[in-house]
Order: sequence, then structure tokens, then C-alpha cells
Amino acid sequence: MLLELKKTGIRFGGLRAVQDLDLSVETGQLYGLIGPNGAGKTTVFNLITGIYAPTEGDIQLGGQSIVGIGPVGVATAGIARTFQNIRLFGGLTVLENVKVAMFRRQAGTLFEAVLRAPRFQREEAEATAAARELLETFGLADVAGLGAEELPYGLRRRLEIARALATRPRLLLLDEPAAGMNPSEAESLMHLIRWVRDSFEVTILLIEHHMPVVMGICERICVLDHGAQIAVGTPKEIRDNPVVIEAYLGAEAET
Amino acid sequence: MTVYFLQVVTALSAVTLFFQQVVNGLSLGAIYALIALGYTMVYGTLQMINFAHSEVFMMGGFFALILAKATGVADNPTLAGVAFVSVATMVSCALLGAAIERLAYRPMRKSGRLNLLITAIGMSLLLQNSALLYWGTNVPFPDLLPRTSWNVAGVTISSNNLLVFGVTIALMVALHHVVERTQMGRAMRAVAVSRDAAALMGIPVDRVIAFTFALGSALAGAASMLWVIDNPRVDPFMGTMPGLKAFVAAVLGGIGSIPGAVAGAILLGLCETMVSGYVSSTWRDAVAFLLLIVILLYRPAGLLGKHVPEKV
Repeated sequence: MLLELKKTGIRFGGLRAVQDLDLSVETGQLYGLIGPNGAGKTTVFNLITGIYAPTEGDIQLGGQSIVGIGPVGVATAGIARTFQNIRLFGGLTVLENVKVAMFRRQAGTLFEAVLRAPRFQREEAEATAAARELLETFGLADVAGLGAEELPYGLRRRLEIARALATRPRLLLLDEPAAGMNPSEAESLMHLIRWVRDSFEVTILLIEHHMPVVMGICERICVLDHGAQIAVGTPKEIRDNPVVIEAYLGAEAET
Repeated sequence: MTVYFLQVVTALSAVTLFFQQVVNGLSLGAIYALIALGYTMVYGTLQMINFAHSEVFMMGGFFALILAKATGVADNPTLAGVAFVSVATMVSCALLGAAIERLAYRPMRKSGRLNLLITAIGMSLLLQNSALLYWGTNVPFPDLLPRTSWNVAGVTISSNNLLVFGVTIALMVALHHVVERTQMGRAMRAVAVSRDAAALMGIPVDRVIAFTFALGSALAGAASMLWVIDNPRVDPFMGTMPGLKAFVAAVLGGIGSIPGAVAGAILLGLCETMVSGYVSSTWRDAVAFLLLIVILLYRPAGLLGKHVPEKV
């Protein structure tokens, strides 16, 4: 088991945003987290990545608790994520966005950097090569020198995934990767996600609204509603689950 | 004929006066630039005005004095000795800047920008008064470098002018390299855009912020070294005016922007010396602040600053 949430919950004042959540993601799995708007999906991501500390329960990565180690600690432990509203580093180029995510891998000191010492030169060259390779696989090589904010929407999503992978994560969290995409873009993204899982040997937990994407690629799905888990299972089990159908229809009727 | 000759002389001296003020203005602007960079880089990463930055500049003067005396460079100045004292002053200032961040600002970071600002003002007063207590006012600084000057077509250029230009340009090149070409520089820029996203990419945000303070403070240390070589006195309040001017320069150029701080500082230095040369030196400080008011009124984002809409 790679990621385990045990009776995890968080309160904001009187509001229980997430409660009693049990979630087990196996190594190599492609796991989906779905639910109507406001169900607490992004809150779960914020709990896992240390933005929020759970008020109840525990979160473990590879059997070790990651509660209280903070976002930097969580990233160092091997979890990377993307954001629902893309958060690239504007003002940095596409290449720099990927390179900066490799920060932890470089050991050179400032003096070496200022003096352009051999280790600095070597580490820079290695980072550039690794970043270029990643950009190549994501079809971003041609735009490597552009500012990240200049990219069209679809490429920004890809860059965010590439940047997350540059941290060499064991677990990748994707927050609505297909948001704002048309069906054919979503379809090609779906293939990309599966391919990323296979070729980077990374476990993926994703939040998604596009049901075809979720049903098409996830091996296991957890459904949240009002911060609580209402169903877990394979895509087929979820599709036929009357509780899930009701939660979704209810939510549809409200919006 | 005589009248014509006089006219030519007057015209020539007007030209030389202008160029003389350009040299003086660039020299003053370069020192402002070194201080302004500290304000602008800290603002870029933390969105706070580090009011204690002018006191880091002041402490740099005292560090230089102590180091010069301790190493014997004060009595027997050599070029290598002065260079050593300068580097040691920069390192001391860097450590002081990082310590201020660690001890005073980091614990306050989560409590809002106003509290941070008040902490910074408190830190500034603490440093000023500690210096006053330990060292007193108006302490003479030894002459470290021989002063020479050259007359180039009527314009006087001193060895100190050249020193200021040389050191400032070298430090700007080094800073540009660090910010644009190194992993720490990229991390600084990433933290400036989004502290949360940077942390989630494994960038050690606390270390990057401490580094930003250290870097800005080292530049302030270089500025104070150049300052005391030219004005050989150190004083607990010597940081106030240059610090305030450098802050104006940073706002002028667009706070948060590194090229903006340099451009604003040069512009401010030139304005001040032009006003001293053509109007009256009593007006020079007023002009600096007048410039600030005009910029805030008509171009609040500064000359090179980008207007960033508030996040909703």
C-alpha cells in the first residue's frame, strides 16, 4: 500500500470539510477521486500535500505518517501534484519551470555557482538535459524558451504534469487535469495519463469531473459527497451504485 | 569679441557642469542601487518592506570599521587588505540579514503583513539604538584608499567614482548570474510567484527566503563599504537617508523588479545631483520624495513594475 488515509478528517471551525475518510491507494494504481462540487476533493489533496493538517486521523505514505511534515516535507517524501487552477511559475520559462522542480537534486553551493565551478556547471548541464528530455516526451520541446504564461491552456496543463514529474515523485496527484478541455482533448489527456503511469512507474491519484475520463482509465474509484466517502470500487461498481447516482443527480438538480 | 568669448566659456562650463553632475549622479545612484536591490528582492519574495534594511547598511559601516581595526588594515591599508575587509563586511551583513529574517520575521510570517511591517520598524529601531549604545555617534573611519582624481575635459573623475562604478557593475553581473542562471535564483523567482506551489515542488521555501535576505544584505554591505570609503565616518543613523532614498528608488523602478530597482536608483541619483547642481543642494532630498509622490500618483506600479491584480 503506497498511500493510506486512516479515518482522516478536518474541521474548519464548525464545518467538517472531510470526515472519517479511509483511502488506500496501491503502488502503481490509477485511482480516481470523484464527487459533486464542494464534496471536499481538493481538500483531500490539500490534506495529503500538507497544506492543511488533518484534525483527525492519519495519513501515511509507504507506511510512514506524513502528517505535520509540511508541503516541502511531503514533496521530499515523494508526492507531487498539479492544481485545479493551474499554478505555473509565471516569469520563468517553460524549461525553467521544470528545472526549478529539480531543486532538491542539486548540491552545489552559492560560491560554486558564482565562480561557475565544475560541479555547478555539471549539475546545471544535467538538470537542463533532464528537463529537456521531459519536455520532449510531453511535446513541449519547441516551446521550452517561452514564458510559461505564454502557453495555450492545454500545453499549460501538460507543463504542470511535466513539472510535477521533475520532482521524481512516487505518487502523483492530479487535480482536475481535464478541466476546460473538449472531449477530444480530454481523450488524448487520458492516454497521456495512462502512459505517464506506465513509463514513469508512478502511482496516480486523480480528481476529475469528466466521467468518461475517470471511468476510462481509473482502476479504482472513491466517491465523496459532503466530505464523506459514499462508495469505493471499480468503475463498473461505481456506475451501478444507486447511492452514487443519487448524489450526482441531487447535485445536478441543485446546479 | 570678448562677449563672444565669454559666451563660449559659459556654454562650455555649462556643458562640463552637466557632465560633472552626471558622473556624481551615477556614482550616488550606483550606491542607492546596491541598497535598493535588497528592498526589492525581499519585497518580491515576501511582499514586505524590510525597514531594517537601512540598518543593515548602517551596521555594514560598523562591521567594516571593526574588521579594518582587527585586521590591522586600518593602520596599514593595502589593496588586498581592503578587499578582504570588504568581502568580510559583505559576509557579516549577509549573516545579519539572514539572522534578522530567522529571528524576527519568520515567526511573524503567518500573522499578516501589517505585523511584519511593525516588526521590521521595531528591528530597525533596535539596531539603531544598539549601535548608539555600543559605538556612539560620528565615529571616524580610517582612510583606506588613496584618493586621486583625474580631469577629463574639465570633468573631475575621482578614484572613488571609478571604484563605485567598478564594484557596482561587477556585483550586478554576479547578481544577474545568480538570479537568472542558478537553481537558487530560479527558486527565488518561483517563490516570488507562488510560495505554496514552490513548496509543493520540493523547493525549501524557508531556505530560499533566508538566502534572499542574505543576498540583499550582502549588497547593502558592499554599498556601506563604498559609502564609508568616500564619507569616512560611521554613525548609527547613517542608514536612514540612504536607506529611505534606496526605498524610493525601488518603488520608483517598480518594487519587486530587479532591473527596476537599478533604473530607479540611477534616475534618483541623477535627479538629486542635477538639483544640487542647478537649483540648490537644500532641495535635493525634497526632490527625491517629490519624485516618489509623483510616481505613486501617476504610475503606482513603478517604471518597470508590472501591475499585478490582486488575487481573488
